[in-house]
Amino acid sequence: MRLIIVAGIFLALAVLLSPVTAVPENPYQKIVTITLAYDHGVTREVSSEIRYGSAPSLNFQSGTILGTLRDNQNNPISGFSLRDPRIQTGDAPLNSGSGAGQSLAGYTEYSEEGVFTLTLPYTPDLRYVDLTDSSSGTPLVSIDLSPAIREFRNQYPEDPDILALPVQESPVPVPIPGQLLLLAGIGIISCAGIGYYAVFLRRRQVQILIVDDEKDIRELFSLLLTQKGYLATSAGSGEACLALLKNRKRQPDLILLDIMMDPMDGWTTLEEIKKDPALRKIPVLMLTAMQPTPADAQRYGVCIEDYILKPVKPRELYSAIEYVLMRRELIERDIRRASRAGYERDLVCEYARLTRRVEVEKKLMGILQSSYGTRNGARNDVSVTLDEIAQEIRSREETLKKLQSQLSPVLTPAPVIRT
Amino acid sequence: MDSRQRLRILFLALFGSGMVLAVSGIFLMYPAGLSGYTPGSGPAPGSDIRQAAPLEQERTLRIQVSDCEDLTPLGDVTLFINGKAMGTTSPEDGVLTLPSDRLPEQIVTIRAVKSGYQERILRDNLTREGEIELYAEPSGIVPVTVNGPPESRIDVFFIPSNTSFNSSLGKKVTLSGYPGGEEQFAADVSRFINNSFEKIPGITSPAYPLPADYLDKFNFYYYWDHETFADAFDGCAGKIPDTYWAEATSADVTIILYPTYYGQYTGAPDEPRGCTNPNGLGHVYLKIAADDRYLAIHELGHAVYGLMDTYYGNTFYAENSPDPNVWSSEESCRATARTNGWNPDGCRQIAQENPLAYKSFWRWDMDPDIMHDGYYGRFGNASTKRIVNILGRI
Repeated sequence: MRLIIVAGIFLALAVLLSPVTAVPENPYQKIVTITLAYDHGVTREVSSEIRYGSAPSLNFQSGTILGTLRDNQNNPISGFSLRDPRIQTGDAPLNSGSGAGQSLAGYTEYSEEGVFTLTLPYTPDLRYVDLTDSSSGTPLVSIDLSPAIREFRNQYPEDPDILALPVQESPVPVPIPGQLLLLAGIGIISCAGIGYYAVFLRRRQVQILIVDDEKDIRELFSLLLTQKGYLATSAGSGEACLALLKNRKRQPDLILLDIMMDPMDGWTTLEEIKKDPALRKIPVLMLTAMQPTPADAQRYGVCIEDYILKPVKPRELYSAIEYVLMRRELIERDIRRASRAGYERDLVCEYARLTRRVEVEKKLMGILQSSYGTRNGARNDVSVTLDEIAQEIRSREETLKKLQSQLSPVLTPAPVIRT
Repeated sequence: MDSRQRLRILFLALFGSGMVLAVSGIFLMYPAGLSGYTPGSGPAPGSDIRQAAPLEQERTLRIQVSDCEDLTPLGDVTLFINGKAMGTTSPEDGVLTLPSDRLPEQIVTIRAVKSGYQERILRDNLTREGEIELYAEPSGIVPVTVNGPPESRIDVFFIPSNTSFNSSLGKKVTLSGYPGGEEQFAADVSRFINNSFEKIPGITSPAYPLPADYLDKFNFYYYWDHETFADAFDGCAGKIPDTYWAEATSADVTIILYPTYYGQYTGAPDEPRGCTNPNGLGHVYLKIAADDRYLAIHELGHAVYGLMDTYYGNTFYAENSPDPNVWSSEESCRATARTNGWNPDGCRQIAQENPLAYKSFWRWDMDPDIMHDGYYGRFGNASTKRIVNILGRI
């Protein structure tokens, strides 16, 4: 009795532990179908596709062609073997009759070209399939399944096997060439537009350097200039001015320079500025409460853009600055026009230099005449100097007229001279 | 030319080249022109989509699957959207309703799977709201005996041929279909399995017993769809239509059964009665007459077990390692015989008696060897050892 019970328990256990033979439902089964063509010894891939379906057994055949399934690191996953697809073998009856007693004649059909198909189970780690001729060891074809995987992913992005692929396996969306070209075109157009605006259209904020040893005056001028939209910086002495200019990346567009400073006065500072080729082109507006002497006018007239007497009204200051800046702009424009029209650059530069100098000297002359009187009185050193200056102005005006007539087709009409 | 002018030209050139690139890009993106898009174009006539007015409260996608022949709703159809299983259709009305919050932003594919039906995949004109009707077509594959999952069995599929051969007239015969239709074909398949696969254990060598579960290692199916037939006499092994291969993806061996080999045979060798085409992996197939019970086993020796002919003829010879039944040298044959404990003197060259002629290959299996005589005989030690090897791989 005990034996029967033990046997019964063993039987029950055996039934419970026996392998389940029912067909498991696996809706995620996928296969790779690869169509290959062979042509006189050359094998090539025709198409590859991943789709849902059941695969045949990998181990069923044994033949002369070896296949290897590899992962994305080219490591082998599994292999299979194929018979030579070029050879079909048949059996034809050799004599009449049927069944026993009838013998066979062989029939072989050999094709040098044709197609054959591989249906393989797809696993998420599968990436390459290689075929090799085992008799010679010659590689026949290597198939990269990446395009087929990409296509399957596009069709079934939420398939569990696709979701299980490593992140780095995600195909990088490749923009089509049209999108790339359009983006590149828009980028280049934007760069060209921004560059053109920055170079030709944008009005830079004008920077003005105020050089005066009196702090109140520096602050007053700074306030006035800032209110007008200029960018004002200041230096408290000639030395400070020179040090500032030498250490700056962007030079000021204009310098308002006081004459009466210690230890380096405005004239000396001006000389130092004009000596330096990097600073020479910065226009300088002289600023002083003292009348210039005829000697100063003769010596420095060539170096300055204007001469303002303190106390100065804000309107006069703005007017002087705008005039100087406008004149420079007009001169630059004339130089460009003249160059385009084929005139020599030196000729235009000489015209510009003379125009400015005549204007400045005329203004200085006016100031000197009002300070030292006209030439009606007794002749002294001052009157002699004034005569010389007047003579020089006339001479330069003559030269200027000749240049004007030469350059008239391209010159901008002279700005209205301030009174 | 001053630097400003050069700069100006540079900027203009850049602008121009940017314009050219951008316009080229637009042309590449819209090769048919921007007017190629037709607003408001709906699904094509006859499509599976029926767009319903969106519901006020809850937006849903309702998918109904029906049999394409009798239009009856199909329950228990598993539906996949973008490859993700969404559920099965109701047995009552064949419908699965999905609220839009369960759906992806973009539906690329809807796939319907049901045993006995072809897989149905919808790719175009998809919508996230409304109704979709799918019509499933019955599968052409009919299971005969299924013993396990395809990947762990040798899956043998049968497909009918609507051609045969009249050897008296020496010409191919084209029929209107398979004589007797599906019923006759199903009977022929059963008889073929009984007369070949089931007979093999009885004619193998007892030295190498076949596995006790020999027949369980096979699944048998046949393919029938009223319209699709193989042509057994297009080339040596015949031709099988692509529609068959699209469905029978797990086939290890496909057997084209043609009705009968007509006429009596006289004269020179004629059109082959049986032929095997290796044709890759999953595409191995052979042809054989449904009533040719004797030659069938010989042909299965080729197609299923990779055995070589051992008779002298215009056939293909090679040493079919591992466990060959034909060797490319006597030494190799004798070495195998010694290793396996067979008499090495059993190795003999493949020969023809009258007139006497030889092939450069050797065989060992004793006569009557079915791979030699075709219509009768047994599988000898060498052939049986190879059969056992192949079965052991599954």
